[in-house]
Amino acid sequence: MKPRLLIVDDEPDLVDSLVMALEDGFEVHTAKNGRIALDRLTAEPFEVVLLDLMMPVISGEDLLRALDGKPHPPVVVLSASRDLHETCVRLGVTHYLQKPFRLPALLAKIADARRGASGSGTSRA
Amino acid sequence: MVPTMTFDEYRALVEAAPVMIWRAGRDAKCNYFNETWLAFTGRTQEQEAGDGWAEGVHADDLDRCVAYYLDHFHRQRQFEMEYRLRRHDGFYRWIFDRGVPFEVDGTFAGFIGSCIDVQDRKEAEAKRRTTLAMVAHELRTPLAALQTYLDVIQAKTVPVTDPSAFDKVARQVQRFARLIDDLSDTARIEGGQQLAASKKAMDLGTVGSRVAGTYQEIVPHRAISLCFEADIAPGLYPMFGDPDRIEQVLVNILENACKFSSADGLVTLRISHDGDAHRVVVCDRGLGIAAADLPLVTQPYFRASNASANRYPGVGMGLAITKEIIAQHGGQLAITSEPGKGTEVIITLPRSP
Repeated sequence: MKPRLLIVDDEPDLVDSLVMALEDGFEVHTAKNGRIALDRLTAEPFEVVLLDLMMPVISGEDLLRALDGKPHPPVVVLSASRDLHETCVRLGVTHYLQKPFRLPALLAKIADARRGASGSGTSRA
Repeated sequence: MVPTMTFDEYRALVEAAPVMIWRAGRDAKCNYFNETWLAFTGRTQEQEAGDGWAEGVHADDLDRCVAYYLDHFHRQRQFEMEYRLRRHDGFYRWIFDRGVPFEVDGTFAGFIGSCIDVQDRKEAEAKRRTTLAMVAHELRTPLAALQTYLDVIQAKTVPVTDPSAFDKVARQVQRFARLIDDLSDTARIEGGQQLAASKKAMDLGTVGSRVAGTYQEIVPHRAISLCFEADIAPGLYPMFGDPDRIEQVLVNILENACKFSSADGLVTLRISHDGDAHRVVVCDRGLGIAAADLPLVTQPYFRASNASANRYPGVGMGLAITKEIIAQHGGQLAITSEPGKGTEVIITLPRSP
Protein backbone atom coordinates (compact mmCIF):
# COMPACT_ATOMS: atom_id res chain seq x y z
CA MET A 1 0.00 0.00 0.00
CA LYS A 2 1.24 3.46 -0.90
CA PRO A 3 1.77 5.93 1.93
CA ARG A 4 -1.05 8.48 2.25
CA LEU A 5 0.00 12.07 1.53
CA LEU A 6 -2.15 15.19 1.96
CA ILE A 7 -1.50 18.31 -0.16
CA VAL A 8 -2.97 21.44 1.42
CA ASP A 9 -2.83 24.30 -1.11
CA ASP A 10 -5.36 26.65 -2.72
CA GLU A 11 -3.45 26.93 -6.02
CA PRO A 12 -5.18 24.43 -8.33
CA ASP A 13 -2.36 24.39 -10.89
CA LEU A 14 0.30 23.66 -8.30
CA VAL A 15 -1.87 20.98 -6.70
CA ASP A 16 -2.41 19.43 -10.14
CA SER A 17 1.34 19.43 -10.84
CA LEU A 18 2.12 17.93 -7.43
CA VAL A 19 -0.48 15.21 -7.90
CA MET A 20 1.15 14.32 -11.25
CA ALA A 21 4.58 14.34 -9.62
CA LEU A 22 3.71 12.27 -6.54
CA GLU A 23 0.89 9.90 -7.49
CA ASP A 24 3.29 7.11 -8.51
CA GLY A 25 4.79 6.92 -5.04
CA PHE A 26 1.93 8.07 -2.82
CA GLU A 27 -1.79 7.83 -2.35
CA VAL A 28 -2.30 11.57 -2.87
CA HIS A 29 -5.17 13.48 -1.26
CA THR A 30 -5.80 17.21 -1.52
CA ALA A 31 -7.41 19.96 0.57
CA LYS A 32 -7.80 23.51 -0.73
CA ASN A 33 -7.74 25.25 2.63
CA GLY A 34 -6.72 24.76 6.25
CA ARG A 35 -10.27 24.10 7.44
CA ILE A 36 -10.75 21.11 5.13
CA ALA A 37 -7.24 19.89 6.00
CA LEU A 38 -7.94 20.12 9.74
CA ASP A 39 -11.14 18.10 9.34
CA ARG A 40 -9.34 15.43 7.32
CA LEU A 41 -6.31 15.28 9.63
CA THR A 42 -8.63 14.81 12.58
CA ALA A 43 -10.55 12.01 10.88
CA GLU A 44 -7.99 10.11 8.79
CA PRO A 45 -4.39 8.91 9.09
CA PHE A 46 -1.76 10.42 6.77
CA GLU A 47 1.97 9.69 6.52
CA VAL A 48 2.95 13.24 5.52
CA VAL A 49 1.38 16.65 4.83
CA LEU A 50 2.54 19.21 2.24
CA LEU A 51 1.30 22.56 3.50
CA ASP A 52 1.03 25.99 1.84
CA LEU A 53 0.98 29.00 4.19
CA MET A 54 -1.20 31.56 2.38
CA MET A 55 -4.69 30.11 2.04
CA PRO A 56 -8.27 31.28 2.52
CA VAL A 57 -10.57 30.27 5.42
CA ILE A 58 -7.79 28.85 7.65
CA SER A 59 -4.22 29.72 6.66
CA GLY A 60 -1.29 27.32 6.92
CA GLU A 61 -0.04 29.17 10.01
CA ASP A 62 -3.45 28.86 11.67
CA LEU A 63 -3.52 25.15 10.82
CA LEU A 64 -0.08 24.60 12.37
CA ARG A 65 -1.24 26.41 15.53
CA ALA A 66 -4.37 24.26 15.62
CA LEU A 67 -2.23 21.11 15.34
CA ASP A 68 0.33 22.26 17.89
CA GLY A 69 0.58 19.89 20.84
CA LYS A 70 -1.58 17.24 19.17
CA PRO A 71 -0.30 14.11 17.44
CA HIS A 72 -0.16 14.80 13.71
CA PRO A 73 1.75 13.58 10.66
CA PRO A 74 5.04 15.29 9.77
CA VAL A 75 4.55 18.51 7.81
CA VAL A 76 6.59 19.92 4.92
CA VAL A 77 5.77 23.60 4.38
CA LEU A 78 5.82 24.75 0.73
CA SER A 79 5.49 28.49 0.37
CA ALA A 80 6.29 31.37 -2.00
CA SER A 81 6.78 33.67 0.98
CA ARG A 82 10.05 35.64 0.93
CA ASP A 83 10.61 35.30 4.68
CA LEU A 84 9.85 31.57 4.74
CA HIS A 85 12.89 30.70 6.83
CA GLU A 86 12.02 33.19 9.60
CA THR A 87 8.36 32.14 9.54
CA CYS A 88 9.22 28.45 9.85
CA VAL A 89 11.70 29.08 12.66
CA ARG A 90 8.99 31.05 14.48
CA LEU A 91 6.44 28.28 13.92
CA GLY A 92 8.88 25.53 14.90
CA VAL A 93 8.69 23.93 11.44
CA THR A 94 11.79 21.93 10.46
CA HIS A 95 10.95 20.89 6.92
CA TYR A 96 10.20 23.57 4.36
CA LEU A 97 10.89 24.52 0.76
CA GLN A 98 10.46 27.83 -1.00
CA LYS A 99 8.43 27.84 -4.19
CA PRO A 100 9.51 27.26 -6.88
CA PHE A 101 11.37 24.08 -5.95
CA ARG A 102 12.81 21.12 -7.86
CA LEU A 103 11.09 17.77 -7.61
CA PRO A 104 14.15 15.86 -6.27
CA ALA A 105 14.45 18.44 -3.46
CA LEU A 106 10.79 17.97 -2.60
CA LEU A 107 11.14 14.17 -2.55
CA ALA A 108 14.18 14.50 -0.27
CA LYS A 109 12.26 16.78 2.10
CA ILE A 110 9.34 14.35 2.20
CA ALA A 111 11.75 11.49 2.96
CA ASP A 112 13.44 13.54 5.73
CA ALA A 113 10.10 14.44 7.25
CA ARG A 114 8.88 10.84 7.17
CA ARG A 115 12.10 9.64 8.80
CA GLY A 116 11.38 12.19 11.52
CA ALA A 117 14.66 14.01 10.91
CA SER A 118 14.75 16.75 13.56
CA GLY A 119 11.09 15.84 14.14
CA SER A 120 8.50 18.37 13.05
CA GLY A 121 5.49 16.61 14.49
CA THR A 122 4.69 13.09 15.50
CA SER A 123 3.53 10.49 13.04
CA ARG A 124 0.23 8.83 13.87
CA ALA A 125 1.10 5.80 11.77
CA MET B 1 27.90 90.49 2.16
CA VAL B 2 26.26 88.41 4.88
CA PRO B 3 23.48 90.46 6.53
CA THR B 4 23.95 91.07 10.23
CA MET B 5 21.15 89.65 12.36
CA THR B 6 20.05 90.79 15.75
CA PHE B 7 19.77 88.37 18.67
CA ASP B 8 15.96 88.36 18.28
CA GLU B 9 16.27 87.53 14.60
CA TYR B 10 18.58 84.62 15.38
CA ARG B 11 16.18 83.47 18.04
CA ALA B 12 13.22 83.65 15.64
CA LEU B 13 15.25 81.65 13.12
CA VAL B 14 15.89 78.83 15.60
CA GLU B 15 12.41 78.85 17.12
CA ALA B 16 10.54 78.84 13.81
CA ALA B 17 12.84 76.48 11.87
CA PRO B 18 10.78 73.57 10.41
CA VAL B 19 12.89 71.08 12.36
CA MET B 20 12.77 70.17 16.03
CA ILE B 21 15.92 71.41 17.75
CA TRP B 22 17.31 70.46 21.15
CA ARG B 23 20.46 71.22 23.10
CA ALA B 24 22.20 69.38 25.92
CA GLY B 25 24.86 70.72 28.31
CA ARG B 26 28.11 69.10 29.40
CA ASP B 27 26.16 66.93 31.86
CA ALA B 28 24.25 65.34 28.92
CA LYS B 29 21.00 66.78 30.27
CA CYS B 30 18.84 68.67 27.83
CA ASN B 31 18.44 72.35 28.59
CA TYR B 32 16.67 73.74 25.52
CA PHE B 33 13.95 72.74 23.02
CA ASN B 34 12.79 75.04 20.22
CA GLU B 35 9.15 76.03 19.60
CA THR B 36 8.80 73.43 16.85
CA TRP B 37 9.71 70.64 19.29
CA LEU B 38 7.36 71.98 21.97
CA ALA B 39 4.51 72.35 19.45
CA PHE B 40 5.07 68.72 18.37
CA THR B 41 5.05 67.25 21.88
CA GLY B 42 2.52 69.73 23.28
CA ARG B 43 4.69 70.12 26.39
CA THR B 44 6.52 73.03 28.03
CA GLN B 45 10.24 73.82 28.11
CA GLU B 46 10.21 72.96 31.82
CA GLN B 47 8.52 69.57 31.28
CA GLU B 48 10.99 68.58 28.56
CA ALA B 49 14.16 69.87 30.30
CA GLY B 50 16.67 67.48 31.92
CA ASP B 51 15.44 63.98 31.15
CA GLY B 52 11.79 65.07 30.81
CA TRP B 53 11.88 64.57 27.01
CA ALA B 54 12.43 60.83 27.60
CA GLU B 55 8.85 60.54 28.93
CA GLY B 56 7.62 61.04 25.37
CA VAL B 57 9.84 58.34 23.83
CA HIS B 58 8.10 55.02 23.15
CA ALA B 59 8.84 52.49 25.88
CA ASP B 60 10.15 49.99 23.32
CA ASP B 61 12.69 52.52 22.01
CA LEU B 62 13.76 54.30 25.19
CA ASP B 63 16.55 52.06 26.54
CA ARG B 64 18.14 51.68 23.10
CA CYS B 65 18.00 55.43 22.46
CA VAL B 66 19.36 56.52 25.82
CA ALA B 67 22.25 54.03 25.65
CA TYR B 68 23.10 55.10 22.10
CA TYR B 69 22.88 58.81 23.00
CA LEU B 70 25.05 58.52 26.13
CA ASP B 71 27.65 56.35 24.38
CA HIS B 72 28.09 58.98 21.63
CA PHE B 73 27.85 61.86 24.07
CA HIS B 74 30.69 60.61 26.25
CA ARG B 75 32.86 59.95 23.20
CA GLN B 76 31.80 63.35 21.77
CA ARG B 77 30.88 61.69 18.49
CA GLN B 78 27.96 62.75 16.32
CA PHE B 79 25.07 60.31 16.05
CA GLU B 80 21.92 59.55 14.05
CA MET B 81 19.04 57.52 15.41
CA GLU B 82 15.34 56.86 14.93
CA TYR B 83 12.72 56.43 17.62
CA ARG B 84 9.03 56.92 18.22
CA LEU B 85 8.07 60.15 20.00
CA ARG B 86 4.61 60.92 21.38
CA ARG B 87 2.93 63.78 19.54
CA HIS B 88 0.60 66.30 21.25
CA ASP B 89 -2.43 64.22 20.12
CA GLY B 90 -1.10 61.07 21.85
CA PHE B 91 -0.01 59.32 18.63
CA TYR B 92 3.58 58.10 18.42
CA ARG B 93 5.49 59.20 15.30
CA TRP B 94 8.86 57.95 14.06
CA ILE B 95 11.50 60.69 14.44
CA PHE B 96 14.92 60.91 12.81
CA ASP B 97 17.31 62.61 15.26
CA ARG B 98 20.82 63.80 14.39
CA GLY B 99 23.05 65.10 17.23
CA VAL B 100 26.46 66.79 16.97
CA PRO B 101 28.86 67.97 19.68
CA PHE B 102 29.45 71.76 19.89
CA GLU B 103 32.12 73.91 21.48
CA VAL B 104 32.19 77.27 23.24
CA ASP B 105 35.57 79.04 23.23
CA GLY B 106 37.25 75.88 22.01
CA THR B 107 35.86 73.69 24.80
CA PHE B 108 33.27 70.93 24.49
CA ALA B 109 29.97 72.43 25.67
CA GLY B 110 27.42 69.74 24.92
CA PHE B 111 25.31 68.53 22.00
CA ILE B 112 22.88 70.16 19.56
CA GLY B 113 20.35 68.00 17.79
CA SER B 114 17.77 68.36 15.03
CA CYS B 115 14.83 66.03 14.46
CA ILE B 116 12.33 65.49 11.66
CA ASP B 117 9.10 63.47 11.55
CA VAL B 118 9.74 60.49 9.23
CA GLN B 119 6.51 58.60 9.96
CA ASP B 120 5.10 59.04 6.43
CA ARG B 121 8.39 57.92 4.88
CA LYS B 122 8.48 54.89 7.22
CA GLU B 123 4.93 53.94 6.25
CA ALA B 124 5.72 54.32 2.55
CA GLU B 125 8.81 52.13 2.99
CA ALA B 126 6.76 49.50 4.84
CA LYS B 127 4.13 49.54 2.09
CA ARG B 128 6.79 49.17 -0.60
CA ARG B 129 8.35 46.21 1.26
CA THR B 130 4.94 44.56 1.62
CA THR B 131 4.16 45.15 -2.05
CA LEU B 132 7.51 43.74 -3.16
CA ALA B 133 7.01 40.65 -0.97
CA MET B 134 3.54 40.17 -2.49
CA VAL B 135 4.86 40.63 -6.04
CA ALA B 136 7.59 38.05 -5.35
CA HIS B 137 4.98 35.68 -3.90
CA GLU B 138 2.67 36.08 -6.88
CA LEU B 139 5.51 35.53 -9.36
CA ARG B 140 6.85 32.47 -7.55
CA THR B 141 3.47 30.73 -7.48
CA PRO B 142 3.05 30.05 -11.24
CA LEU B 143 6.80 29.33 -11.43
CA ALA B 144 6.37 26.61 -8.82
CA ALA B 145 3.69 24.85 -10.87
CA LEU B 146 5.72 25.38 -14.05
CA GLN B 147 8.87 23.89 -12.47
CA THR B 148 6.98 20.90 -11.14
CA TYR B 149 5.31 20.17 -14.50
CA LEU B 150 8.72 20.40 -16.20
CA ASP B 151 10.31 18.10 -13.61
CA VAL B 152 7.50 15.59 -14.10
CA ILE B 153 7.94 15.70 -17.87
CA GLN B 154 11.73 15.37 -17.47
CA ALA B 155 11.30 12.42 -15.14
CA LYS B 156 9.02 10.92 -17.80
CA THR B 157 6.45 9.89 -15.24
CA VAL B 158 3.94 10.97 -17.88
CA PRO B 159 4.37 10.43 -21.62
CA VAL B 160 5.91 13.63 -22.99
CA THR B 161 3.64 13.33 -26.02
CA ASP B 162 0.65 14.10 -23.76
CA PRO B 163 -0.54 17.49 -25.09
CA SER B 164 -2.27 18.38 -21.83
CA ALA B 165 1.08 18.43 -20.03
CA PHE B 166 2.29 21.08 -22.46
CA ASP B 167 -1.01 22.99 -22.20
CA LYS B 168 -0.45 23.12 -18.46
CA VAL B 169 3.07 24.44 -18.90
CA ALA B 170 1.77 27.04 -21.37
CA ARG B 171 -0.94 28.15 -18.95
CA GLN B 172 1.64 28.86 -16.24
CA VAL B 173 3.72 30.90 -18.70
CA GLN B 174 0.59 32.90 -19.68
CA ARG B 175 -0.23 33.47 -16.03
CA PHE B 176 3.31 34.67 -15.42
CA ALA B 177 3.16 36.98 -18.44
CA ARG B 178 -0.15 38.41 -17.23
CA LEU B 179 1.42 39.34 -13.90
CA ILE B 180 4.25 41.10 -15.71
CA ASP B 181 1.68 42.96 -17.89
CA ASP B 182 -0.23 44.01 -14.76
CA LEU B 183 2.98 45.24 -13.13
CA SER B 184 3.88 47.35 -16.16
CA ASP B 185 0.29 48.67 -16.49
CA THR B 186 0.34 49.65 -12.81
CA ALA B 187 3.67 51.42 -13.28
CA ARG B 188 2.11 53.39 -16.18
CA ILE B 189 -0.89 54.34 -14.02
CA GLU B 190 1.41 55.52 -11.23
CA GLY B 191 3.38 57.55 -13.78
CA GLY B 192 0.19 59.17 -15.08
CA GLN B 193 0.56 57.50 -18.48
CA GLN B 194 -2.21 56.02 -20.64
CA LEU B 195 -2.46 52.23 -20.95
CA ALA B 196 -1.92 50.77 -24.39
CA ALA B 197 -5.30 50.17 -26.04
CA SER B 198 -6.40 49.49 -29.59
CA LYS B 199 -9.96 50.75 -29.94
CA LYS B 200 -12.45 49.78 -32.63
CA ALA B 201 -16.18 49.19 -33.04
CA MET B 202 -17.08 46.28 -30.76
CA ASP B 203 -20.00 44.68 -28.93
CA LEU B 204 -19.93 44.53 -25.14
CA GLY B 205 -22.44 41.65 -25.06
CA THR B 206 -20.16 39.50 -27.21
CA VAL B 207 -17.21 40.10 -24.86
CA GLY B 208 -19.40 39.45 -21.80
CA SER B 209 -20.70 36.25 -23.29
CA ARG B 210 -17.16 35.08 -24.14
CA VAL B 211 -15.94 35.79 -20.61
CA ALA B 212 -18.95 34.02 -19.10
CA GLY B 213 -18.29 31.05 -21.41
CA THR B 214 -14.68 30.73 -20.27
CA TYR B 215 -15.56 31.41 -16.65
CA GLN B 216 -14.39 28.00 -15.52
CA GLU B 217 -10.92 28.84 -16.85
CA ILE B 218 -10.93 32.05 -14.78
CA VAL B 219 -11.64 30.17 -11.57
CA PRO B 220 -10.64 26.56 -12.22
CA HIS B 221 -11.52 23.97 -9.59
CA ARG B 222 -13.78 26.36 -7.67
CA ALA B 223 -17.40 25.52 -6.90
CA ILE B 224 -18.54 29.13 -7.35
CA SER B 225 -21.42 29.37 -9.81
CA LEU B 226 -21.78 32.20 -12.29
CA CYS B 227 -25.19 33.55 -13.21
CA PHE B 228 -24.89 35.45 -16.54
CA GLU B 229 -27.87 37.69 -17.26
CA ALA B 230 -27.89 39.48 -20.60
CA ASP B 231 -29.63 39.45 -23.92
CA ILE B 232 -26.69 38.64 -26.10
CA ALA B 233 -28.10 39.06 -29.60
CA PRO B 234 -25.17 40.46 -31.62
CA GLY B 235 -25.10 44.25 -31.93
CA LEU B 236 -27.22 45.00 -28.86
CA TYR B 237 -24.35 46.64 -26.96
CA PRO B 238 -22.31 48.57 -29.54
CA MET B 239 -19.39 50.58 -28.24
CA PHE B 240 -16.03 51.92 -29.34
CA GLY B 241 -13.30 50.26 -27.36
CA ASP B 242 -10.51 47.72 -27.04
CA PRO B 243 -12.19 44.29 -26.71
CA ASP B 244 -9.11 42.80 -25.02
CA ARG B 245 -9.03 45.57 -22.42
CA ILE B 246 -12.80 45.30 -21.81
CA GLU B 247 -12.38 41.55 -21.41
CA GLN B 248 -9.55 42.25 -18.93
CA VAL B 249 -11.96 44.46 -16.93
CA LEU B 250 -14.63 41.75 -16.76
CA VAL B 251 -12.09 39.04 -15.88
CA ASN B 252 -10.56 41.22 -13.12
CA ILE B 253 -13.94 41.97 -11.56
CA LEU B 254 -15.08 38.33 -11.77
CA GLU B 255 -11.78 37.08 -10.33
CA ASN B 256 -12.15 39.40 -7.35
CA ALA B 257 -15.78 38.36 -6.85
CA CYS B 258 -14.72 34.70 -6.81
CA LYS B 259 -11.58 35.20 -4.76
CA PHE B 260 -13.49 36.79 -1.91
CA SER B 261 -16.54 34.48 -2.14
CA SER B 262 -17.17 31.54 0.12
CA ALA B 263 -16.41 28.14 -1.41
CA ASP B 264 -19.96 27.55 -2.71
CA GLY B 265 -20.73 31.20 -3.52
CA LEU B 266 -22.79 32.62 -6.35
CA VAL B 267 -21.52 35.41 -8.59
CA THR B 268 -23.80 37.33 -10.95
CA LEU B 269 -22.72 39.09 -14.15
CA ARG B 270 -25.46 41.26 -15.64
CA ILE B 271 -25.24 43.41 -18.77
CA SER B 272 -28.05 45.83 -19.60
CA HIS B 273 -28.86 49.22 -21.11
CA ASP B 274 -28.88 52.35 -18.98
CA GLY B 275 -30.02 55.31 -21.12
CA ASP B 276 -27.18 56.18 -23.48
CA ALA B 277 -24.81 53.84 -21.68
CA HIS B 278 -24.23 50.13 -21.20
CA ARG B 279 -24.30 48.88 -17.68
CA VAL B 280 -22.33 45.93 -16.33
CA VAL B 281 -23.08 44.71 -12.81
CA VAL B 282 -21.07 42.04 -10.98
CA CYS B 283 -22.43 40.93 -7.59
CA ASP B 284 -21.03 38.51 -5.07
CA ARG B 285 -22.05 37.38 -1.59
CA GLY B 286 -18.51 37.26 -0.31
CA LEU B 287 -16.25 38.92 2.23
CA GLY B 288 -17.25 42.51 1.38
CA ILE B 289 -15.19 45.68 1.83
CA ALA B 290 -15.18 47.98 4.88
CA ALA B 291 -16.67 51.44 4.26
CA ALA B 292 -13.36 53.13 5.13
CA ASP B 293 -11.53 51.03 2.51
CA LEU B 294 -14.02 51.59 -0.35
CA PRO B 295 -12.56 54.90 -1.60
CA LEU B 296 -9.06 53.34 -1.57
CA VAL B 297 -9.58 49.99 -3.32
CA THR B 298 -8.82 51.38 -6.79
CA GLN B 299 -5.45 52.78 -5.69
CA PRO B 300 -2.45 50.81 -6.96
CA TYR B 301 -1.18 48.22 -4.46
CA PHE B 302 -3.96 48.91 -1.96
CA ARG B 303 -5.15 45.88 -0.03
CA ALA B 304 -8.36 45.99 2.00
CA SER B 305 -7.92 45.78 5.76
CA ASN B 306 -10.04 42.61 6.05
CA ALA B 307 -8.14 40.77 3.25
CA SER B 308 -5.39 39.33 5.42
CA ALA B 309 -2.26 38.56 3.41
CA ASN B 310 -2.12 35.06 4.90
CA ARG B 311 -5.52 34.18 3.49
CA TYR B 312 -5.93 36.31 0.38
CA PRO B 313 -2.60 36.74 -1.37
CA GLY B 314 -2.53 39.40 -4.07
CA VAL B 315 -0.69 42.53 -5.04
CA GLY B 316 -3.59 44.98 -5.38
CA MET B 317 -3.28 45.83 -9.08
CA GLY B 318 -6.53 44.53 -10.62
CA LEU B 319 -8.94 47.26 -9.56
CA ALA B 320 -6.47 50.08 -10.25
CA ILE B 321 -6.03 48.79 -13.81
CA THR B 322 -9.78 48.19 -14.16
CA LYS B 323 -10.60 51.76 -13.14
CA GLU B 324 -8.03 53.18 -15.56
CA ILE B 325 -9.28 51.09 -18.49
CA ILE B 326 -12.87 52.17 -17.80
CA ALA B 327 -11.79 55.83 -17.55
CA GLN B 328 -9.91 55.54 -20.87
CA HIS B 329 -13.18 54.29 -22.40
CA GLY B 330 -15.13 57.27 -21.03
CA GLY B 331 -16.92 55.10 -18.50
CA GLN B 332 -17.35 54.99 -14.75
CA LEU B 333 -16.76 52.45 -11.99
CA ALA B 334 -18.84 52.37 -8.80
CA ILE B 335 -18.44 49.89 -5.95
CA THR B 336 -20.84 49.35 -3.09
CA SER B 337 -20.22 46.77 -0.40
CA GLU B 338 -21.19 45.54 3.01
CA PRO B 339 -18.68 43.51 5.03
CA GLY B 340 -19.88 39.93 5.40
CA LYS B 341 -22.69 40.40 2.87
CA GLY B 342 -20.96 40.96 -0.45
CA THR B 343 -19.92 43.49 -3.05
CA GLU B 344 -21.60 45.03 -6.10
CA VAL B 345 -19.48 46.51 -8.87
CA ILE B 346 -21.28 48.70 -11.41
CA ILE B 347 -19.55 49.73 -14.62
CA THR B 348 -21.11 52.15 -17.10
CA LEU B 349 -19.64 52.46 -20.58
CA PRO B 350 -20.86 54.86 -23.29
CA ARG B 351 -22.65 53.22 -26.22
CA SER B 352 -21.69 54.19 -29.70
CA PRO B 353 -24.40 55.29 -32.15
